[in-house]
Amino acid sequence: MESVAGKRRKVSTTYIPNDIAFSILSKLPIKSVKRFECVRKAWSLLSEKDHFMNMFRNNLLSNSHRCPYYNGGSMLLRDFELGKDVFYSISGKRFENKVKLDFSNAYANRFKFRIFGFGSINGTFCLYQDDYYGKTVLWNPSTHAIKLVSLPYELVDLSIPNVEHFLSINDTYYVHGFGYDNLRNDYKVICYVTITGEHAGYGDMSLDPVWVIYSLRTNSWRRIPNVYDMPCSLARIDGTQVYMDGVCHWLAEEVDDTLEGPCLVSFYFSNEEFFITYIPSYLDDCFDLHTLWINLAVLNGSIALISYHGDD
Amino acid sequence: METTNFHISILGEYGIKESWTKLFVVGPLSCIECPIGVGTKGEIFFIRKDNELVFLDLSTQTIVELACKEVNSIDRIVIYKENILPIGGISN
Repeated sequence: MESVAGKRRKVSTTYIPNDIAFSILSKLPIKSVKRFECVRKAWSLLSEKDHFMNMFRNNLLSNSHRCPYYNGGSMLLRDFELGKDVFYSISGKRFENKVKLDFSNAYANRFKFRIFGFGSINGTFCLYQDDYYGKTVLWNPSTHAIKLVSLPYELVDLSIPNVEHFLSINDTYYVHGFGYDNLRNDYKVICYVTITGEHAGYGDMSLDPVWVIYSLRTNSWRRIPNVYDMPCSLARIDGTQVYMDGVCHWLAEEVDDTLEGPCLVSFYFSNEEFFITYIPSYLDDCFDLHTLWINLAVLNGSIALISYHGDD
Repeated sequence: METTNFHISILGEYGIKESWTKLFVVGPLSCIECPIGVGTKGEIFFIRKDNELVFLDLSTQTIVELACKEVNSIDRIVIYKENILPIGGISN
């Protein structure tokens, strides 16, 4: 008996071979991988090693459990037939199931709508009018419910000092975020509004832009405080916005000299704070001339930047 | 011949520029007319030059034709998860 125990002691060890450790690490979110790189010398620069990143990529694409919103979901396709917008839901392994959705409502075919963002949130889409006057609707295809989000004209007027001295005011609306505030069980839309006015004495002038946020629960808008330096996007590129876990994200191009370069803006509905994450040019010149297309996506719980580049 | 590449990167930590990690560069591909959206597993949908709707499967790096491939003027595809709750939830 003693000799068996002796043998067992010999083989018992706390050493975990690297291949097992790497296999475990490759199942973690990229944030954790990056943090664990400093634990041991053999783990350093893991995210630059081909063998490790192959395992990591396979796990990332094969596990969708970290993206519970869209499990078992389908895709929504917008087409244009006989002068009308039509929407299809397509699903199945090769998208062989195609169902035409009922889009008969008071706004259909009166306005040309674009689909905001990356997908539905709890079954609801945010559609916005394809011009700058900002007709925005929330649409749930399953229940056929459609809700017009009225615009905050009075709120914008209130932001203008001596508004009575202006003969006319023109607002341009740029939707930046649509999502669910789980703290308040409310749906929100975030808009950047640029304003020009015709002043009675000085003529045409541009006025300070404002950030406003819509609450479905109160059916009203208010200004977002303390975000005057939040980067915006005036390019209105479809799909450069995503929502995940109470946070809205959008890509912002370098509009003026205040930014170091293109960046991702992450806005928390819970406390209305935001983060700026710059996009290094060595990673992706995503607003470069040779970039033909950019999108944001959620890939197994991570924010993904996808771009399509042409030849130099 | 004109060729093009897809680049896919993910972000590790909000606010940390260095935490972006490049996952894939796929290409060169010469058959793409225009990309129109991304699916839940990172499938990139695009209209091919022969006007068919296809997607790039990142796990196999192959191009898959959709069973429903008739295209009129599709310009956008997004993720849709059905939900029969009223807009704004039960409380409304």
